[in-house]
Amino acid sequence: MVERSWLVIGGVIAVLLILVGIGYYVTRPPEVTSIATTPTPTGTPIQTPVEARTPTPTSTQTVSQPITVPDRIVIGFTLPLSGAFSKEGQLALKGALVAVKWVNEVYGGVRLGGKRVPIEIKYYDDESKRDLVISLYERLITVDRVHFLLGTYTSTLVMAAAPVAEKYGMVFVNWGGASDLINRQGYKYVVTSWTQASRYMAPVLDMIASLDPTAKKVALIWKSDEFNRIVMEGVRSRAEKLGFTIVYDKSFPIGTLDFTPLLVELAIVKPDIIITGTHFADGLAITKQLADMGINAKLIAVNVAPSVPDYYKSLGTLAEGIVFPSEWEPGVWWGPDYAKNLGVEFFGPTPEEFHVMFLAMHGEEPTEYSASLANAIILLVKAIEAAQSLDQKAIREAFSRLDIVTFFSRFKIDPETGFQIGHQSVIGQWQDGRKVVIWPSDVATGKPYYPIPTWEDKKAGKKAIP
Amino acid sequence: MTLSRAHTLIPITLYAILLGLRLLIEITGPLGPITGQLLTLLAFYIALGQAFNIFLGMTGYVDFGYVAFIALGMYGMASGVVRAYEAGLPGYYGIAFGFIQTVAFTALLALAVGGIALRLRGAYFAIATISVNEGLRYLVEGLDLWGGSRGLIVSGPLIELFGSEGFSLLATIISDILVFGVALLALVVTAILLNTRIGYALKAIREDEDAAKIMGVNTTMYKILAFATSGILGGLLGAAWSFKIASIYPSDAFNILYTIEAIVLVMLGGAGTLAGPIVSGILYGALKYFLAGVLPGFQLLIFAPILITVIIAAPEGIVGALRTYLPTIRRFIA
Amino acid sequence: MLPYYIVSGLLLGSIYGLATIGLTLIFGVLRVINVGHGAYIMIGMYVTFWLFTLYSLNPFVTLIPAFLVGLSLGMLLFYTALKRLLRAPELSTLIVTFGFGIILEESAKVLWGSDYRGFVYDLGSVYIQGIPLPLVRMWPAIIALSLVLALYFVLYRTRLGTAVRAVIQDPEGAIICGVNVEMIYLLMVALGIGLTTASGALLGIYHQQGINPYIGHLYTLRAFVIAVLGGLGSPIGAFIGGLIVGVIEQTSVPLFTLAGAPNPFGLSVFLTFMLILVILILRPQGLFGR
Repeated sequence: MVERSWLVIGGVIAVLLILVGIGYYVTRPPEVTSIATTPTPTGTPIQTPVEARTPTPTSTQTVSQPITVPDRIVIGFTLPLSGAFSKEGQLALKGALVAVKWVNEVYGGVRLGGKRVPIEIKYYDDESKRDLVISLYERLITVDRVHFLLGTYTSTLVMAAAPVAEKYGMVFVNWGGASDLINRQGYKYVVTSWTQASRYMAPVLDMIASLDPTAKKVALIWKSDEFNRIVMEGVRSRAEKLGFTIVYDKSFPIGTLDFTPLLVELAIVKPDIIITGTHFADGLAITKQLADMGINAKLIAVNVAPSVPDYYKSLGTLAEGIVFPSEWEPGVWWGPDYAKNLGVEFFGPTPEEFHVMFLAMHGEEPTEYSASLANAIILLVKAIEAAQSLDQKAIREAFSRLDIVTFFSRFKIDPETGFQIGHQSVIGQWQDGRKVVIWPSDVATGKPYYPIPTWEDKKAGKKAIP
Repeated sequence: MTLSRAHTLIPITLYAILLGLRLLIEITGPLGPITGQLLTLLAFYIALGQAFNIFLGMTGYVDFGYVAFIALGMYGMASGVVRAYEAGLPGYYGIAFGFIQTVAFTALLALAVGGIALRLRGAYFAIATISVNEGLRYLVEGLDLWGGSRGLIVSGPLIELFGSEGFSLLATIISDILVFGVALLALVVTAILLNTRIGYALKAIREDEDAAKIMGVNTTMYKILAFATSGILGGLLGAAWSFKIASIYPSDAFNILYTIEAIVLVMLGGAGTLAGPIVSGILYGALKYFLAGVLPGFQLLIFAPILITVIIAAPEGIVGALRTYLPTIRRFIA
Repeated sequence: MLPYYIVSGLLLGSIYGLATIGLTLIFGVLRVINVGHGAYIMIGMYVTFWLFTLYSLNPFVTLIPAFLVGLSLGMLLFYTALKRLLRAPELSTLIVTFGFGIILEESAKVLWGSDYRGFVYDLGSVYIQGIPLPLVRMWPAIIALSLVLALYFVLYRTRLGTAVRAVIQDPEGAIICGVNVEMIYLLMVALGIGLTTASGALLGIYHQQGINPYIGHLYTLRAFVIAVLGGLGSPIGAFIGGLIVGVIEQTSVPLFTLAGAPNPFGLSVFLTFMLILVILILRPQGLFGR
């Protein structure tokens, strides 16, 4: 009896393995690619056959039909108010509140159908969890019946939310997910409003190239998540174009907070430039450990973490001189003059207005997350006004045609994919306990401090004042 | 125990009602507070509970790494679809291949782990299974399997293969039907097990494994059987669910939360009972759904003490307690 | 370079060992695996964090309050749950200890938020092969070692210790010999949890950043590896196991890198877990287990 049952099990396993083998054989990659493959910078090649692509929905309304104007327009989204991305989520929420106040009180409401309609936001805490994101967005759409959707923060969560919006044919303004892949899935309703990951950190290299042509050795140490992976791909291709040498390129899994083994190797390599791919928590940890290990470099760029004021609070003078990319920093003058120079319209609060309102409402400086979510709301308002409709297709069309400047920088998308091509991100640096925008030079608020102080100097209290 | 017709028909009818409601809502839209999403969640938890019950409930062993089966199911189906897509084959090939992979992977894992871990008892078994789950997760990341920590993105290929409309259908109603299917399959298997010698042997193992061994029960064989069945069903659940998620990352797929929920579902409902997972699945799913908007972040804080109280006060779960204190119910609920 | 890793591994490993002693003592006496183990480490970290940040208390001094907090939590755990489950199937105790861990984590989340916390406490560094080794990583290890030695002294040179070892060996025999077994149970649970939170404080000093309510999970898993490696129920085993695992952890990453693996970090963690399975197959009672 015993032998027979083992035989049966063995037989079943054999059958399964054979089936799997057949499957692998049947699904082997074709030798001659009959479909035009667009080489994408991603790991999994997503072939986009040109014929199969369905065009973006165009609005069928050419004549503005009388629409029923609601008494308020509800905008729905989730935010990671707790969990791994809680810091960024909470900061973003503050921006949203300022935007709503501006639209309703300063601007007077959305101009729609001859009336001024106030806006309202409806949001949930997705706890940085993807399955919650999915169910909460479903809820926003089917239960709360919001008029429009905004995304959540960070690419991994946005990737979960976008298909839900797509499923219901609702416009999804992606203000918080920077992965290029988001706009490469063939979604028709996703519109991204800030600079994508591939262009995010790369400008640091442009800046260094102009400051110090002798600094050639670059070290990359990054978290292997959606966002940072693509950031690094962008950095690598830029490095190649500008003639840098990548002397160290290591990744660590999500959730790592002890980088000792990686840093010991890094110490031996002695790079000129260190660039990290992180979010807030690990960015903070890695900076501290770089200091602990005394690993110095002419310039250290840390992703995401330093743009949050808590970074300096936790690290003190250790944070001096640290460079970081940012979608936006207070003081950057994307204003009506800038718009005029470009020959496009300006909409929304000026950077000054936003800054003042934010300070008044929250008693702290705004960060890029606050600004980005606020901006998404402003842009949505503009799109509604341009389309004079609440129809999702019409709004999507309006976004395609939109080319304006807001306090957050320019907005212009690729009509077909929703990819953001107008926005300009900046590079910042902590100098004397304050964040200073050091690049690009036409909107900078200060000069770069280069090379940055050593850890020993910083522990002794030295500040990066150029 | 021999199950009466009522024992099996009542749960099946319940499933039919839930599925019917779900299909109805697809056409009419939400009925009051009952949305399609709520029913999806209920279906998922019922299926999860039924699948896990076959192992935890019937043998009394805690597989703390159960989520590995669900993850393998997700990856199996998703990678199958992506591979077919990249080979230029139509979507159905992908799903068929994905299905085969799911069953194959979970069966293999069950045999491999079962072979090693099921020789161990209680606590050691728990540790071994946790290690498997975490180990598998880091293996996927470490060797860059299925995209590693870059994740496996299915939504793009699915849209290209089935079109936007097809993708939408797949991710909603079709996925839900599949989940109900897994729940039904698990229910049937549980019923069969309870009715036959195998269930009897498993119960003996749960009560006193040494005695069972002495009596000549081939404990290893039966344990592996229960383990594999439970695992494969978990994998099928993961596969059905993968259409909804659109992109799979190791840290999410191997999330220990699923294991926790599975344990709660089985213990709350009644370990080893037929109807237990249904009761707890509905309760837990509904609670989770309605609390999500109201008290975000408090769910686990509420569930954990409940779980502890249940374990201490009523270890036989809701159904078990009902059967003990309301003998008339025994004819209808197993 | 390798000596640096080994030293680093030994330092971290001794703290791991201390943490695992708590786990293994509870198992040895009660045959209960505290699945919520990591949560108590997290509590220890937070104690250190708050006392340092709010009252500028020397982090090393915070060890005492951390230990006392752990002691109380242990007594709570015993009186509310474990006492009633002495005769219950393993399943129940596993789930209950798990549940307790979750309650701790969720309460921490509600009370202190899920933000990642950190502080900066620097004592300078010594240099190994030119690479600095912060002293704040050395002292916790020394303290851990001292605590372990103290524990050894108590267990093997005092009457109380003999009573404990008697209970571990044979609870019924101990009762016959007049040992108040229930008191020993209470003591060991409280002590075990206390040592765990104390080690949490030490880990807090070692890492100083990244403190959040869920940080316990990875430590729980590590503790399992170490406990199994050393042999469940053996404090010496736990400590030596801790050292071994610490060294393996620190040295495997560079070794994997040398081997050209795509993700050496992930593989290193994978290795840790495979270690458990290997031990369970080859020598389930661990190095020092019975």
